[in-house]
Amino acid sequence: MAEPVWIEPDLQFKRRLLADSDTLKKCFQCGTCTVACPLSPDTEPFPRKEVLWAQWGLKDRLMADPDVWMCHQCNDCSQLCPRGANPGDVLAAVRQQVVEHYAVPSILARMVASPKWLPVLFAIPAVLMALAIWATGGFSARPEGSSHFFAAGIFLPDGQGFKQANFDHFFAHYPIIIFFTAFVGLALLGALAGLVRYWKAMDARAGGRRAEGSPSLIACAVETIKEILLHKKFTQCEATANRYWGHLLLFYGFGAMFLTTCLAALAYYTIGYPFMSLWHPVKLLGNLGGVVFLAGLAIVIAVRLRGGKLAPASGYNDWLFLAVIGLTVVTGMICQAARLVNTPIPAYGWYFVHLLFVFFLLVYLPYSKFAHLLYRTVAMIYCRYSGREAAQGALGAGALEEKKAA
Amino acid sequence: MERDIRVYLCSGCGIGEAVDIEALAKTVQKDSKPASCITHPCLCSEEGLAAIRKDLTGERPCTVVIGACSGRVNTDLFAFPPPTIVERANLREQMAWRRMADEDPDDTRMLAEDIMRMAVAKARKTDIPEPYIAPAVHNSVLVVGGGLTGLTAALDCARAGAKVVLVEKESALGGHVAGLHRDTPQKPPYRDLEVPEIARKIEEVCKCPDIEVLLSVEIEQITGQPGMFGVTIRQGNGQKPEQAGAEAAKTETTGARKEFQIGAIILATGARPYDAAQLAHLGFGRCQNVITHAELEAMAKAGKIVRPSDGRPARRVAFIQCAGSRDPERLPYCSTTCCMTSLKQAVYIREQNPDAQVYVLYKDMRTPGQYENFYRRVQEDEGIFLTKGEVAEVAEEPDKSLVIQVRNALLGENIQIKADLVVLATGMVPSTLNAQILHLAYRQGGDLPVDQYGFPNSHFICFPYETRRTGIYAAGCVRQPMDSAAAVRDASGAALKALQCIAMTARGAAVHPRANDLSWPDFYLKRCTQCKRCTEECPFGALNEDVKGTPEPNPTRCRRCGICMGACPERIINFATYSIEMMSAMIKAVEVPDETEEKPRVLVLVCENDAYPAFDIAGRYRLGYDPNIRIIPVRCLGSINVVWIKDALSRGFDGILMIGCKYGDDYQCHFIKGSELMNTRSDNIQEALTSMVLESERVRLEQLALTEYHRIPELIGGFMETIKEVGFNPFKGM
Repeated sequence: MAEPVWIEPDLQFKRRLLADSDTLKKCFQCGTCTVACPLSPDTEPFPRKEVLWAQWGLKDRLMADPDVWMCHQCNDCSQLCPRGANPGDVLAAVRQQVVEHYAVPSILARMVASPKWLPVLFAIPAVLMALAIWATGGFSARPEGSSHFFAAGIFLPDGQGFKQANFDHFFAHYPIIIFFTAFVGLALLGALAGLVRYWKAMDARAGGRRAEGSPSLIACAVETIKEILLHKKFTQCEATANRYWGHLLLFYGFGAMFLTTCLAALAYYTIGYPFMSLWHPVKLLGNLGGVVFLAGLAIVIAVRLRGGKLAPASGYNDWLFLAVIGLTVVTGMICQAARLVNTPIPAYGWYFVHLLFVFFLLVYLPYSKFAHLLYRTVAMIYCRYSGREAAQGALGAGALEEKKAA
Repeated sequence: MERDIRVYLCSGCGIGEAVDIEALAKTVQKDSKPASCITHPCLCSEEGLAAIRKDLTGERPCTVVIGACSGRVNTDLFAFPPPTIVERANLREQMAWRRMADEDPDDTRMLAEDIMRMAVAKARKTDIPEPYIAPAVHNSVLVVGGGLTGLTAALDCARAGAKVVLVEKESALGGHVAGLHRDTPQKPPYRDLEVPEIARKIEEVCKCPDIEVLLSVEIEQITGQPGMFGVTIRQGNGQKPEQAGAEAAKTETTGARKEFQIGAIILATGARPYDAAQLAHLGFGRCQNVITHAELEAMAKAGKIVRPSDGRPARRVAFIQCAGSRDPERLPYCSTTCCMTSLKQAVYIREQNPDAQVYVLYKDMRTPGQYENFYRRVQEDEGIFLTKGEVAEVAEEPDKSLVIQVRNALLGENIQIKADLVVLATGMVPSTLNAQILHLAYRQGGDLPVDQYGFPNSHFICFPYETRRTGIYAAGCVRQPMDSAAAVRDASGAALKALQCIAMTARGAAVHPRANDLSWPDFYLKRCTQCKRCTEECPFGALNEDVKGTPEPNPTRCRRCGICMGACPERIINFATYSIEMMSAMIKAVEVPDETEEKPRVLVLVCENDAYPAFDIAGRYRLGYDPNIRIIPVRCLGSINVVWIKDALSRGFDGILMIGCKYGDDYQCHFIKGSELMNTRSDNIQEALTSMVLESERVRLEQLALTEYHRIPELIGGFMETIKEVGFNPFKGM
């Protein structure tokens, strides 16, 4: 017989989960959720065991459990739960705890998770940017190309910037680039550390076991990314097909805008900025991405606002993330519009706000709900790597076919 | 007085299609020679009933034989007041409706004719019973046990007008409930613990002028029978009633003994916790900090829940459910309340310390009915952790903390948990197990017979409260494990039974299950050989004995099952409405064709409680079975006298099938032991068969539950096959 395992409930941890989803109290372990879940594998299926662990406050287990990320919160389970518990929300609460648990530094994650720190979090980039504007002589017309990194210099404000809505006249970008890159870089380093710890914890809990014939790490990563690009998991969820569309549109819309931004930045410091025309293909890509993104956002918000059994519980983290990413896009579009109609003061004002949101989104990424981008990807890769995903594939497909046949 | 036998045949409900009713009437007239025999297309109609009533106005009293539907239906319509006697012949369910698809109409006709012959034969031997009216029936109830159940029963009986004597062994009233800190929720929304209201109840009892409370007493002896028990109460162990209770005891016991005339008795002595000393594997007795529900309840009542080892508050407490319960080696049954008690006590611990952790380790969490709401409320408590699992071991650490090993936990593997305090959820053992309480002066022993677990039940599914001693009713946890809410309801139920017993005894009627039966066994003692079979076999201990062994009947203890009648080798025990002679006459009334006709005859003696209605149900479902059987209902298989078997075999019956209730530990016999006794009497039957040089296969005993009516065709068919193989009875036509 296997060595018995110590069980030591962590009441503080349970209280944090309860704060996010108190329906976990209602579970009486019937297992309907596990049977209903189209994504759950046939060995050690979820979400029943996670809900039980949560009831017992077993933090160590939940913090080393990749299954919480296999859940895409379609809420098939919550809809069928005979006790009115919402296993999907419980897993979401656990995911939030995973992000907080592995964050480096963890204080930042706790700040992001708490509304009272929100002003501080915005104040940091605001002060930095105000300094940058002052230091680089904002609101000045400057020679063509002088805003380039290498042609930087200090200009005194001459009021020229107010004549034409040109963001180069607002302030020089290079300090911003330096600040942002440095902060994002540090955040990503922290994220990397968290992810490595997470991987090790998952591996240790599984006893380092791998199913025989599991593919290499690279192959697993490639397969996982393919799966993510195709949004395959979402298609298996039955109860909420609109979540598939919502996330798909958000994902590709954001992707298109991110790509546009990267191309623009690259061009800016190499060949100059050639995309001022609305009809330039890169510009078109960006704007199309924006429209697609906003459509996705509308779906996602509608799903959450509609409420009922199918809606995921929406806590501060969820709304904060949606608000920040949504406002990043919206303020960006307003800036573009203000530039096109040549109204410098609104343009600069919105640009300032836009950059605040960009900073928030990117620098706080590993500490906010945006971190799911990293943790979910890593957990999904781990599931493939450890052989758990293969088991799921066999059952998932079978069960789905059976369901369809029925 | 000479009676007129009048026969009425109904041709409705398919009877007329099955047989030629006019021809049947002629046969009845010819063979049974009644005063009249008429037919009617619908006897239960107003015209049909009027036709019967018209005949009842003559000089001589009538015995009416109604050949129509089963005697179990239309009892209200075919009820004619004395001096008329009514006999029902079952032509519908057990003749017309049971026909097989390819049945020879001749066989159907012969069946119908025999049913009528048997009915008339029975009618001729039936008298109007003269009820046994006791000289004095006391409208008083003895309630044994002053706990919640006893108090409630006493109040209910007193409110209904009876005098009550409430006896309690301890020096104060209140019993188990008085020792509770809180009780489980009793009212909506069933979420909050309640302060037990036992004090109010005690006060009510003490104020009630019709209740006499005796504390610190024991029963020395109970003599007599329902309606007239003689109860002797003795002051127990020289204890004096407590000062607070002295007020309660309105009547001080004068001297050492006191006697009462009692009509009926309610036993409400409750249960005791299962002996935790048997639970060493769960640490009890071995580890200081392993306690039981009872100990924790006492601590909570006293104010503080601490570790016995060092008096420090218990921060981590583990409850082990089913401690000894549902374990074939220890207490095989579920005590139904331990889950709720643990949840309740978990709340105590959490209220005492908001950072305390309570683990409940269960086999199954059982919170029946509205208690589900309380379970939910406990589940909502963040500091209470519930898991299914088998507790394998409890070990003590050097600091007296405990480590509990749990196998097959819901958590998916074998786990171990550390706790400051372990509480064992011990079950209930009835106070009647290995105990002397009532001290009955009965020939069969001083106390109530109990089932395999020690509960004094008689037939708990159909007849709760009934014990195997008439007029003595068990209520509360002594009857079966239950919580306080159920005990209150139980007390009322038993009180009603006790009052009913007194009222019916006063009229000379049987209480149960043959409620209202006015007949009773008449012993022709001049011919008694003192064989003691009747006094030993009576399931209700109704018969005492004199020094020589002659039975001394106690008619009001009797349930009229007739088991004594079946037991008696001298055939001296008979009822006015059920006798050896009557059944013999019915058997002899059957016309047995001789061997050349190749028509076998099988006598089927069926228990009228379950098997007979099962035959009616089979008829209602039109399940066909062999027409060569002749059914005679008996009060209980135990009432079958071997002489009937002999009569049937010498009459030429080819086989005898006896169908009764299930017996054994989970018996369904309405008279506890009837079918089992018949089975053990098979020695006598074998003797009878051997003396007649007949095959043993000719007599068979079958068990049939009411719900098993669908088995009847196969059961009959199987026996007919056997008889075919054995061949015809050589006594045929002799």
